[in-house]
Amino acid sequence: MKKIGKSAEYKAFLAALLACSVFLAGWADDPETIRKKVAFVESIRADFIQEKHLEMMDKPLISKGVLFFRAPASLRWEYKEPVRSVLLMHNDKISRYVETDDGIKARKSGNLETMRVFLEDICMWMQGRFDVNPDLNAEIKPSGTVVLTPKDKAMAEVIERIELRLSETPGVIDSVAIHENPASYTIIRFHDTKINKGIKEGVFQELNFKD
Amino acid sequence: MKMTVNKKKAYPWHWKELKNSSLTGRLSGRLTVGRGALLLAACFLLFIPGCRSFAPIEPAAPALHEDAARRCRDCFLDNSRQLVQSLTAYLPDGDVRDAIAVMRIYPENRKIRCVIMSAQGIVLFDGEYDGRVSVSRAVSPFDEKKFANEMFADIRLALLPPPGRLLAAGSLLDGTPICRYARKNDEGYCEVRLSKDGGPEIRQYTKAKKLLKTVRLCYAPACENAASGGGVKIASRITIYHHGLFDYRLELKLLETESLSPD
Repeated sequence: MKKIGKSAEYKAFLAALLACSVFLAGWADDPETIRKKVAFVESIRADFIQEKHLEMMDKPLISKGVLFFRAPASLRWEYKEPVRSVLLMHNDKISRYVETDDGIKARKSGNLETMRVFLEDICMWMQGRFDVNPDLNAEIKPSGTVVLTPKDKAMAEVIERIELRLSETPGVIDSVAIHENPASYTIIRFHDTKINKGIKEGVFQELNFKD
Repeated sequence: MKMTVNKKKAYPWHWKELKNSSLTGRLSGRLTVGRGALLLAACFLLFIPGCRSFAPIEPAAPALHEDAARRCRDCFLDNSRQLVQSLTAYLPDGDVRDAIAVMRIYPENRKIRCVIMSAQGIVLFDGEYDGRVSVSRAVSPFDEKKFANEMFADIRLALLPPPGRLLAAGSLLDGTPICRYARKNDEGYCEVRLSKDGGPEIRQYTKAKKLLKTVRLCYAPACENAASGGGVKIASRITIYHHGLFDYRLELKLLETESLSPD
């Protein structure tokens, strides 16, 4: 019996390993191969649903939006619900817009530059470059997940870890989970991802009040 | 709610000016005419609200007094609720900050839990008021103790009935229904004005009757672009004005609400 059991465990282990390899078949499992496999990605458009989980809330707070990316470093991170806002990075300039009663308003607050790292990291992830941020340790797991953990203790107090769940399709990220602590985490699930379908130039231009 | 402003950090030049404009500075002849003018202007701005006195109240007839007081109390939450609101802070230096606030409010014991987060969901502040303020998480610039105290004071002012003695209930000379309270622990005064046109207005004064804060509540459907309380009278919009030399305002727009079982 013991021998049969061990054999079953071994088969299960092999099956799991195989499943894992299928997960990473699209992206591969080492940074250099991943980069090569997604080198063809020039642009991405994806809708997303963001779930904010808080221990104090019975159900997550849902936000919805759309992401546009164009290599190497143009990004539009737009929330459509519950509050419309747009975060733009293009030509090394970062700008933010929020919908108000008087239309879309540019926010020129001093903390915009603090968003730069966040936006630049997303651009890097879209290009399969998970290990370029020197402040984060990147671990590519066979399950098709990239786990990023802050090296700096102060940063780790804000974000415990980030988990990127990769799709089987190279260049497509299924979800991003940002774990702040066990009581608070955010999951951003991407869907309807379109790669290299062309993005209008205006998408990355500064918004005017009527957009 | 109040976004904290470290005036000395945010306005080093203003504070330097005021410091240099001290009596000692003047006696030592260091004060220039320009600085003197600035000092006068600052004092003028600073003390104008202090010159305000209470508007006279025509007391409600004894038979209607309790009804008038009840209508004032009706502006505030009477059951435990969770509120999700968008928060916009218009700071004294012209900066505008946006965030999402999630609050759990328990009127029966005046307990409040509040989480403020960025649009991306990163928690910037997580704290609780249960007679005293405790903060479990605060990211700069939300990590100053004064911020937490002021924020919970603002939430209590806007959403919970004034904790104190009702001094008068009646109407102003223009007919606006009003209740005036003496705040607990000799912490000044509070008024609830029930405007006929707009929503209620809550005012907080110091002991010297200087106006500190004004809160304006607006209920759906009068307030567009905001959620309604779903049949429960909950303000769809709350605007909190902080008066003084470094005045600023906070706007809260209701996104979601649900009832909670009592704590």
